[in-house]
Amino acid sequence: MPDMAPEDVRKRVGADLSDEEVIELMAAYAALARGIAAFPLPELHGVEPPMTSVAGPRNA
Amino acid sequence: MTTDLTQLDLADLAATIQAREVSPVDVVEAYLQRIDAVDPVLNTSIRVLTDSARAEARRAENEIANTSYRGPLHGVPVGVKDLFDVAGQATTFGSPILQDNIAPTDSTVVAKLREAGAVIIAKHNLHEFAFGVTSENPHFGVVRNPWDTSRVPGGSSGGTAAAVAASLCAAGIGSDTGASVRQPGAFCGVVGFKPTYGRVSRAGALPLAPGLDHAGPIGRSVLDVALVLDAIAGYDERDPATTAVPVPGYALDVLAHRGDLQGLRVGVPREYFFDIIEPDVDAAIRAAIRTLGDLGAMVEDISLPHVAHAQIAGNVIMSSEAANFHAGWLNSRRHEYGPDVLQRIRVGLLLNATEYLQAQAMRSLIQQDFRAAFRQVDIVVSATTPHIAPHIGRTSARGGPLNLVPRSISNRLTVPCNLTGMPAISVPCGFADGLPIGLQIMGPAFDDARVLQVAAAYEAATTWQRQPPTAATGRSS
Repeated sequence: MPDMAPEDVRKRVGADLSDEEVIELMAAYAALARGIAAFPLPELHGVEPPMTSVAGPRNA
Repeated sequence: MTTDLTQLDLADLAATIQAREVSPVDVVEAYLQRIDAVDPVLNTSIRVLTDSARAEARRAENEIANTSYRGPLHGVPVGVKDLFDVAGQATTFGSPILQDNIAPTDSTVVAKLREAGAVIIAKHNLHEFAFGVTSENPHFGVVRNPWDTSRVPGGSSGGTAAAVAASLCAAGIGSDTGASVRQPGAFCGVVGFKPTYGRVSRAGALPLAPGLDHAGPIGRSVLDVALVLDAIAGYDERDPATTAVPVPGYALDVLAHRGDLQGLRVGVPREYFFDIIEPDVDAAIRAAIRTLGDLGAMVEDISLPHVAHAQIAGNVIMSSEAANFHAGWLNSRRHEYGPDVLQRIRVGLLLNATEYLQAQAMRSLIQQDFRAAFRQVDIVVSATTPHIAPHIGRTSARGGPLNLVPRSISNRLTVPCNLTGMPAISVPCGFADGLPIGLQIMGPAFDDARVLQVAAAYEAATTWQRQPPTAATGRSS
């Protein structure tokens, strides 16, 4: 979800954030969230997240 | 023989030490003098280990005199990024929060270097908490690029790459979570190698994002990097990501195969890698690909349909995992963070589990793309970075031929290999505005030897690696 309300940002990061910090964080988060929203969701649902990076033997 | 020992590549220096033409004590003194002369400008080191380096050099001298030569790193000065533990020294991670964080034991990488006889000469400056691509460190000062001291050296292993380029150590160890060995290697005109995930232990190294973190060598030549990799690669019970896949002897492979690329299939991605790239960098990479063809390789297009999502996936994983590591400090010590790093970590607190897992699933799709590509080709090539080193203080503003923000695009070509775990190297392949350009060569997991062989063949066919930095403080010829 690309949009996040200022009060949600303060709740998760810190109540004492300045307005400027909140705006910057909202923009940074929105950029990532928009990028995720552009992922091809049906394809994502067809794969397992790789909880290790490398396919192959661990103790070959 | 040159009178300045710091100008010898690691391989040549090792040969002179083995032949007892020079003593490790003389080598270390030469490097310490050069650090004294040059590092006040470049600021590559957070701490120079003067006393312990001298003691280690004397020990190496005695061992070699008593015919106990350990191998090519024996008596050779090596620096490490200041996120690797060195027993008895602070591991600062480029932050004042950890300035008193004295390591009780060596990291595995440092322990292996010591076993090989290397002299640990310095702990190198870096982007704060390794979370950035410029090494403009607000606490320990900006690291400067030896080719142009008004430019950044890249990051986060900027101190290590600049130190290697300026001959302040014979080789160095950096870490790479999205770019941080290869991108500074490219910006500083040296070789940076990110081995396969699990090839080199991260035990005793502070993490940025454990699922993406790699340790890797930076050197002045591919052979130098291979020599260091031989010393540090292998299984380590202290790092569960490491594997017992045999270590083949990378330096011997490089020596045996460099120059011959007959039958090699080189893949050039159709998507993404050439979409956003400065014209001079693009031209240098196209020329490098032609050189690989001239050496006998067969060049063909490949498709990586999901790789365009790599940077978002990488940045989501990086911020999320970094937020986890930093959670305890984000409230109590937030004023001790630089603003750029604090923001990137705080974004990780905003990302939710679903977004993190979607980024991980995207990683699977990108891995599948590369797996399919490696059924068609042996290696994949691209630029290491889409741009040359930007000016200090202007890395967050639009600029350059692309009129884009350097910090926002700098890891876009390197982060795919952090997601896949594949080995990838940056070798010098040209210049633009007098600044180095890097060619990235990527291979399948645990085919590190092939990546090194191809890089060595390219290096042997060109002269880029033999050109020293032009700034007054850089490597002299």
